[in-house]
Amino acid sequence: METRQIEQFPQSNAIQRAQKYGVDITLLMENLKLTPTERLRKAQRVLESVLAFRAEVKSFQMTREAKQKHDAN
Amino acid sequence: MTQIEELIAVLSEKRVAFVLIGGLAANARGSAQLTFDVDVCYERTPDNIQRLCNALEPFHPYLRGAPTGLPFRFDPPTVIAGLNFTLVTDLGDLDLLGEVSGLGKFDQVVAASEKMELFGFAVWVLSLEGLIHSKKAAGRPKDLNALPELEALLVLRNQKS
Repeated sequence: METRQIEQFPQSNAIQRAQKYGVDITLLMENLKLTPTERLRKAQRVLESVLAFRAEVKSFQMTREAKQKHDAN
Repeated sequence: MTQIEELIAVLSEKRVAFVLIGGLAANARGSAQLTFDVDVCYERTPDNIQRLCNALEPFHPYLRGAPTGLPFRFDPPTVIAGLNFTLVTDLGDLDLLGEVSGLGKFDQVVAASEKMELFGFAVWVLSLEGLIHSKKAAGRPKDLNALPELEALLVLRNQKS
């Protein structure tokens, strides 16, 4: 489905270059279906998810370090 | 955490003349890159600087990364004496630029922008062409890394329209 969507567009140099660079063109195509406000709401959700994940990782690391210290004593 | 909608609403409701630039402008144009702050270019007229200060004052703007207790007030004399400010506020990180690399001052940035409806407000947002031009001019690795995606978006947008 996604591959067929991409193939509908002529493979311009810019698209090919972006794909080689690791850009997921399907993400861009999905974003272009949204309104600008919806794109920013999505950006906000992604940001919140990443920060929540980072906080979880930090909390996990702190708990593990505290446990290691406790076990060492 | 940066509150994108609230920051844009505060600036718009207080009639601050600004252009959304940087990563968030790219997001509004379709970029999938993660953005942690809001970057805007603001008009450096006395009236607009006053409106900008009034708009942000309730949200305690402070220099990002500066030691706590530094005597900093985000007021018109401070803004007039400076140009670019990287701030932390109660609504998150906000970068205020008086000029944009490769484009120039506010009027030139507006000329490279289009109005978009964001959260119910008509907001100037730097165009894909403007983003590409400014990132090429800035030339830092993080700017150049953004180019392949922005150039692909330009192609997709042109093919769509």
